[in-house]
Amino acid sequence: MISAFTYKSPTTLKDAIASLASEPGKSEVLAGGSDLLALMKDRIATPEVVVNIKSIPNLSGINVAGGKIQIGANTTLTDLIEHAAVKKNLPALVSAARDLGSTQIRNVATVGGNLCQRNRDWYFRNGLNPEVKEELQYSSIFPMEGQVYVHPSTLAPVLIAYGASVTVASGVDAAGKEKTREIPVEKLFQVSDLKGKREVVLAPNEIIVSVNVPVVDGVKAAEIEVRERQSHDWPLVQAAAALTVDASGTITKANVVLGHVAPVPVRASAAEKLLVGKKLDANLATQAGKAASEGAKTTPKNEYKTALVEVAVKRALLGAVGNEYWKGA
Amino acid sequence: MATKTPVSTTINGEPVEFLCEPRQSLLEVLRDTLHLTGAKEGCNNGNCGACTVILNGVAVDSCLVLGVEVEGAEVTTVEGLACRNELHPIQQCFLEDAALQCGICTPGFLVAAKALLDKIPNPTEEQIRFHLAGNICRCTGYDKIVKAVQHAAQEMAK
Repeated sequence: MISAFTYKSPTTLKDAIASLASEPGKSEVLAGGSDLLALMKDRIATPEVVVNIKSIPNLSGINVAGGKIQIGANTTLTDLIEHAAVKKNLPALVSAARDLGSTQIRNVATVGGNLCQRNRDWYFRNGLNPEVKEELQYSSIFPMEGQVYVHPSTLAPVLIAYGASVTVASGVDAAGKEKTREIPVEKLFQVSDLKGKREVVLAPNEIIVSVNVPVVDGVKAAEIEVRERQSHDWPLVQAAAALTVDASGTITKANVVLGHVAPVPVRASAAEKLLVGKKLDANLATQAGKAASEGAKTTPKNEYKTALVEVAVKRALLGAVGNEYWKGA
Repeated sequence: MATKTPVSTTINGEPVEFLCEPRQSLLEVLRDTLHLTGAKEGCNNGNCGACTVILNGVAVDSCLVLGVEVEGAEVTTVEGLACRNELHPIQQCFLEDAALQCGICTPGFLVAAKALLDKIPNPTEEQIRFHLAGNICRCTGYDKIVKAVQHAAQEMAK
């Protein structure tokens, strides 16, 4: 049985923020529970207060308006992948959400929770047990601040490629109204120290309210995950690509984002630079894949990941324009 | 002893009230408090699906839901599938098609299959495999399970 805690199930955002603020650093947000409860069972998280945010109205559901799709943070992944406008406009996001976890997990796991989940590093999940540190086959090939874990979210790289942002509720103003701030998904992540410093830049009393994805005509996107198992597993490497292509077929904007290679989702800037101003073909996609893996700091255990990055980027780019060559003629 | 919270819910169509500590999972409440031991504790962290129940119409791992979260909800466990002495068609087909061996994963598969067929009455093999990927069987293998679900879909369409 997990450690005892005080359970709160506020029905307003304001009360939820107040509950989180009352025990800063000792409280946790409970949304889908698929990450938090597993962490609590392993005594990696031992909060004194658990704030269930599922009773707050308006935190779930999807709105399409003003050139963007606004996804409530509590929207489950099942509801996300079955939403008509999301399927039509954000196929790469559907692909990532569909490949994630299992039906049971997608039925509870939320979009906000996916972004706020803790990393899956075995060392972290084993209570910082030094004996586990040697298992490095899944580790980062772009280590940052001495950390070698990889960021677990597969929605994040896709959301960054689409240019999405999150709206965060952060405290209450003098008039008693919730204050919000907008953060690009790209700026949401930081390198955790595996202790007090989380994988997200949010303060302990901040809650993601929605994820806002711009819908831009002419943007073509795809994501590729290279996996050991096709279902119910984390990918070894993920690449997300969103391309803006003009009438002549020239790439005018390229967003290429990698997942599962670094402690935060990372933009493959060298690949992006290479692509802009050119027309996409298999040769250019191959070069972009090579550019994306440049600068990797690998170990004998994880060097295979550079080859996976190359092929994942190539496939994401060609897949974005409808060339799924790897599925056979 | 920590304070217990009263919870009112509906389980297998019957109104149920129970007391639980916030830290108890729905699985623990079902098995230890309500003595509904059909849902099994396999991994206890959302990987195996042996504890699958239907919560408000969708399949969930009951080990990853707190008991206090089902206030006002509707829960279906494997005990709610059979009607008196008559097995549910999914159960009957699992029997007829030998889609089980040791049986520990079976309640989870039955409930996950029920949730699937409630949503997609005539699923393709791919849809069955996709939707049941959260349930792990370590002895029979999945082919017989997939066939039993296809068989059940046909029986239920009659």
